[in-house]
Amino acid sequence: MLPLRLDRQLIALVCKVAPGGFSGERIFEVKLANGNPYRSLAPRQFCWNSSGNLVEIDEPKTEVDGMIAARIVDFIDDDQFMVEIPDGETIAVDKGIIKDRPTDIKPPMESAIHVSV
Amino acid sequence: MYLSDRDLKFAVETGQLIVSPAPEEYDTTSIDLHLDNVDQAKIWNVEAFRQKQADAGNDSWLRVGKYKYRTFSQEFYQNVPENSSSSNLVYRNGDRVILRPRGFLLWQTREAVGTPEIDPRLICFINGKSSSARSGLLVHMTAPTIHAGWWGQITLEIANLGPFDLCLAEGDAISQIVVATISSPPTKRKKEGIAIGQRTVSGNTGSN
Repeated sequence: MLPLRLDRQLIALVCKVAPGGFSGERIFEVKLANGNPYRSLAPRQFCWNSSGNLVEIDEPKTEVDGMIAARIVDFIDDDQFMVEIPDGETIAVDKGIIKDRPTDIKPPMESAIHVSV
Repeated sequence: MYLSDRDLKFAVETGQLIVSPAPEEYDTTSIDLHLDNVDQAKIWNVEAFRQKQADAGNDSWLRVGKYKYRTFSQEFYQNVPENSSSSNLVYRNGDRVILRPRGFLLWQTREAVGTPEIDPRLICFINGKSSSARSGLLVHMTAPTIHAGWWGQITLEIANLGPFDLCLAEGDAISQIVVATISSPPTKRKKEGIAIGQRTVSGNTGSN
């Protein structure tokens, strides 16, 4: 049973971050618990660079060390956690790559410019 | 329950629904999404794919049930070419993209759309618009759901099934989202109780 304090906990995973095909997406590569790499896409807003800042629209230029946002879904054993990542998949990772998020991910709160009703 | 215009506006203002930049207008039950700048329009480099298959001694077809889009896409995306030769079903004309009948491209929306990670209570669905659909424009073929708890710019799958050469440009409102409530915040997502890449006592059973 997952300790309550870990259920749905928002965390970050150590990974590689690279440019994506679109300005709004990035490629990330995480090491799975079984040792294989997992490579996928994520919205830019869920990726941090090696300095712990959320990546800007023009970064990174090449593959860099970074982190990807995730949520803990379940506890597998002492060393493995099941986490949900921004592409919607659930992967197993070693606890060693699970970190606190360097910053919060705050969705924009913008007022409507014009409302037609 | 689908949200009306007043509830859509309330959801945006309270952060339950993320639409950034914020909508300029709300339709009765939807919010328009606009095409991002033309550099965010991409096509597949089919020749490069075929060449790679040939080099590897494989058949030239794409095995849909086996291919991994996420890595495949990085290898075979290309910008829309300027060349309007008849062999190109999609090409650029300045800041516009011309989509010939049977042409297909991918184009990111300007807006980032979705719901917050914490306690999401809404789910979004991407739709085309009936007016442009009647020209033959297909905007989003499958997977119209933006699952609760994530947000980002949307990649539209755009095809021309009609008889005209269609012209698209940045800012065109060719798609929209409708938004519905979910019964409660989602708890967990698992496939058959095992995660990708899980290491078990009997060895490595996960795949990636």
